[in-house]
Amino acid sequence: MISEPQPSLTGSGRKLAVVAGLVALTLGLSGFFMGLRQTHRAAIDSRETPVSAHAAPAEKPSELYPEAPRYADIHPGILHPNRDWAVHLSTLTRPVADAQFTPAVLTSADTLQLRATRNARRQYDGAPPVAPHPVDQRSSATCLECHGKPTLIGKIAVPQISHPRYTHCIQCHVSSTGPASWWQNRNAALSDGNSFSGKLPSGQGTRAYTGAPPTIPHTTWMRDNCTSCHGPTGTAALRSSHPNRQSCTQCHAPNATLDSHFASGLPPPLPVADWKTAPAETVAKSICEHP
Amino acid sequence: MNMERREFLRTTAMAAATAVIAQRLGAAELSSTNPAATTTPDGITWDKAPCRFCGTGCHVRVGVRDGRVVAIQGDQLAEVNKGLLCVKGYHVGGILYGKDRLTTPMLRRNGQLEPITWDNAIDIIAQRVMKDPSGFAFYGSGQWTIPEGYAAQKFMKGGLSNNQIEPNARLCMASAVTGYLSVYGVDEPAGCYDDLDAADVILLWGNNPAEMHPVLFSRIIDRRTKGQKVTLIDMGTRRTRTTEHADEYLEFRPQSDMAIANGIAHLLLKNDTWDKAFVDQHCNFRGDNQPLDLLGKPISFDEYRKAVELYTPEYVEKISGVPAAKIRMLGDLFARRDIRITSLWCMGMNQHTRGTAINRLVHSIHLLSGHFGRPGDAPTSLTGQPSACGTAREVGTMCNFLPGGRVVVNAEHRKESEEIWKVPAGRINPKPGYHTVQLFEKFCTPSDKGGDISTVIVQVTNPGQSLPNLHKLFKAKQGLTDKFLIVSEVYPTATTEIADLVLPAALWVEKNGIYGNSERRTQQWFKQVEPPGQARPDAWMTLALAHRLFELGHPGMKDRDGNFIFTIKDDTGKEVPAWDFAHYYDVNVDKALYDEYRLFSFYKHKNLAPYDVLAKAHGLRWPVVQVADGSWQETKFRFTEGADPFVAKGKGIQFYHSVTKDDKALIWFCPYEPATESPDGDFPTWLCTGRVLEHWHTGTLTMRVPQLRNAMPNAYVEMNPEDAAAAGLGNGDMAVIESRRGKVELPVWINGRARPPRGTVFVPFFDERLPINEVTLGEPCPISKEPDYKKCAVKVYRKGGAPILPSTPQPHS
Repeated sequence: MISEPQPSLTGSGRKLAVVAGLVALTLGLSGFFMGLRQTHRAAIDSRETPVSAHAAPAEKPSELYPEAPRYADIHPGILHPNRDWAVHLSTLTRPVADAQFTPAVLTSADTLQLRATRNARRQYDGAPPVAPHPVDQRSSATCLECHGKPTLIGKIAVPQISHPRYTHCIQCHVSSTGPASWWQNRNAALSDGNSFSGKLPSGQGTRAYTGAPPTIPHTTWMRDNCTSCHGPTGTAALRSSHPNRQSCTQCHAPNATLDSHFASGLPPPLPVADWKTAPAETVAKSICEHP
Repeated sequence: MNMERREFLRTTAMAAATAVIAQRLGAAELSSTNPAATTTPDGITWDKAPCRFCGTGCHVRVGVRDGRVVAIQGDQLAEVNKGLLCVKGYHVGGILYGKDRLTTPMLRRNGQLEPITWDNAIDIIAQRVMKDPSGFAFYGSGQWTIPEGYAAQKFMKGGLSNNQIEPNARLCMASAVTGYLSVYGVDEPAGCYDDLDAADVILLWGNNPAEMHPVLFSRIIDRRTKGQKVTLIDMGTRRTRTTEHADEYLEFRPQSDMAIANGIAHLLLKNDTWDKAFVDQHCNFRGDNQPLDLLGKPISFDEYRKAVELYTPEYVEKISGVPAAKIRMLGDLFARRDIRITSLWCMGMNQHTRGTAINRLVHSIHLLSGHFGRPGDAPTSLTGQPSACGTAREVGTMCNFLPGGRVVVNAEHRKESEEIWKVPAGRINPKPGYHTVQLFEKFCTPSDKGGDISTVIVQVTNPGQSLPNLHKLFKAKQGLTDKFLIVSEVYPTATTEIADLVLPAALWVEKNGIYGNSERRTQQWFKQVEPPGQARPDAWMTLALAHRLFELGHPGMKDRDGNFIFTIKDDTGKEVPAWDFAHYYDVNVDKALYDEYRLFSFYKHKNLAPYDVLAKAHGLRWPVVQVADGSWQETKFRFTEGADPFVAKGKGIQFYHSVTKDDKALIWFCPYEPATESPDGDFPTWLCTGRVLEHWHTGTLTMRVPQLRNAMPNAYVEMNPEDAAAAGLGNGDMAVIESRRGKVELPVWINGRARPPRGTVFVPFFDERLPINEVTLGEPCPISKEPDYKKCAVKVYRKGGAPILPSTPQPHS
């Protein structure tokens, strides 16, 4: 039996990983503190441990600047939807190599739970998911800081954007917890009842025969990137068991009737690899060069 | 292979795979290339419909299973949105299923709304009409479908000889209408959304499309992802999500947009960079009469030149706060013939005490510089309601209009309308009714004190929240026992709160419908699910009321042959009693009403496609004409040869409804004038109001959708951090916003989605629990009668005590 080649991290790759990690850490921290400054008052309202209890008087900074609390001093309670940032920032990693990826071993109960969570974030299968955390309202760059690449924060897998051509995130994705962190704690049950019952995912695709690769059981409209859901940081219940195989549609056929939207005359989606560097020619070239 | 590259390749490979799917499927002709309903293997039937919300007019495909909407998709075949939607559109299915849908007619007895039968309800309305026919008013909106608005229009003007019919659109785009009428002699934009794909520069005049027209905004910024260059210039009174993507942000003081427009005209003349050939061939000059009126008076080029001489960049800087260098930059852009410039605006220019004037000025600088008539060169207003153009403007459901661009004061127009309606000559009243603000003023004034509007029927809108200065214009009705408010609604609202009779309405795909969007596109859809309980379509209500009056012998309900004015026949020519709900769906009432209305559309060359043609399309932009091969051709660019079938050969550009009857448009001069109410010592802060991305209009639909409500659960006041600090306010604190007309308490949001400059605050109006319109001024533009919601003087201060917010809507009785 020929085993699939296992990619390994080269030296330069490791160096890059460290640099990338540091960059992510710096960005994450500065982003966090910027957010913190904005929510300073909200934080005061609900914090259990006052910052002042930890600040040594001798180190008190100039009155011009608010005291920056130490990370560890912030009560995780106030960071609710993003609490893993507080707990796991030190372990912030970006899994970029398949070596880091091990398919999750899931019980059927786990799978049900994961799917239920996934469904709860969508009005119906195919709806843009809501963000289970507050959303920075000023700039899409903040969203892409985590969602631009596959990211792990602690145990939380952050899905990568599946349609990098579209850069105005909040047009479709909104927070399920109000517009900003100051709003939390004041609005436990925001909605007052709606009986809309959305279409659920169709489940697995059909197979031509036992052992045949399943067809794609959903539409692929607007989605350029299968790994967003099926890659290493996709929903655990949906992850591919064979991430090394890269040409998904070589084996998994779309369901033409289900995916009823493609029509003649429409341009195919642009292949885009990176939301920041989008020139299609470059991408096309890379694809051609791929051995 | 290093890992960055490896990951890159994997992503691209997957992307390529997806692209391959698209190509493969693209090769085959699928059933979905036809907009007719299709059923997928999961048992879902998908059919087309325009989105229920803003004026963009995106098409959705509505997934229905077992009689309920279960999913929504952006319609890839729709040119407007090409498969993309915004968060409201993706969640539009939820608006049908809020738990407090109104399902039965209700009459207020002893302060309580109690269920009654439809028969009873229609009787009560008919009695009110019989008692005081001229004191009866019909108030609708740009959410009326075209047939609904047309039925109301014909019922009022062609039946009751009563011109007291107004739409919410008066509060929304009346200034755009008067702008187009006074410049081109005919309403609605010459350009269309295709301009957004072709423009090099897009100028936003007090406009925040990132939140208000997100799909159009994405259409612009997505061009950048495709490697195209488009320069976005955001001119506004606060930084918004739109500013985030803009190349230039010019922050001007409220009302000073007029000075900026005049400043551009000044530079074009001073630098001799105006388009002489275009102006000579296609333009005349105009100035205001005193008092102000729609068509003004002719002025000479020299008078025009002299008038704009004052508006040097330095002078404009003094008024607007925009640096002179930036005014010069705008002047230089308009001076260039090698680029295409599209201007977009919406409520910033329309809800303006000089709304008509600023609309004229923006058209004028496009004409003066020749930035008109080529793809990408267009001054284009956007609308905020799904059929503001289709129903309010084209059907003309306003106190002074008749369908198809006609006016009640014109004897010829009345005669033509009476002909189409087959009603006796003289049926239509030549005197315009009250405009919206007057109408509600009269309704809120006791009858013995001159309040001669006694009954108002409201359909498809929520004046109890959307009118300005609510205490005076709406709430004052409470306690006036001689006044009667009838409201057709889908949910309890601020309007049903004080209504005397509430009628449960069918919503969106619970009925057939036709909307007309911002780019002249008329869009049809079919009923796809049943409305809940006894909810019924608004068009049926109007037909039923008309027939009850016919039974009671009201002479206006008969045409000149003595037949009921809404006689509807089936294909065999047999009359169908559509006014009886049991038979309403025996025939397509929408088709019958629309195909009659269509006859009105030819006069101003706004030719509409027949119903059956519309049913097969994702909307068609008028004028739609049949060509030699029998197909129907829409029009992208009006007044432009080759695109517009009514432009004579060899003319290039022809303004064929010219005010001056010489195929020329008018370049206007209107002076900058300060706002009616500006901040002063007592009320030192500007208040601006508007919408947010997640909610539409007064939020009665979107606040019932959990995903939208959770995202933006309440209104807020957006403050500048320094102002907030000075007032001792922090994020989440309760602030009081007080004007001379009322006060509202709102939580403060600092450094949030948008950032107002010092001395200004912004409050969205979607939240019925925090009604900012109790504070707004509502001073109307003297020509369009559209009130200003964007500017008034307030004071903002910290509320004593603990922050308290209502966590659930106030109970409705």
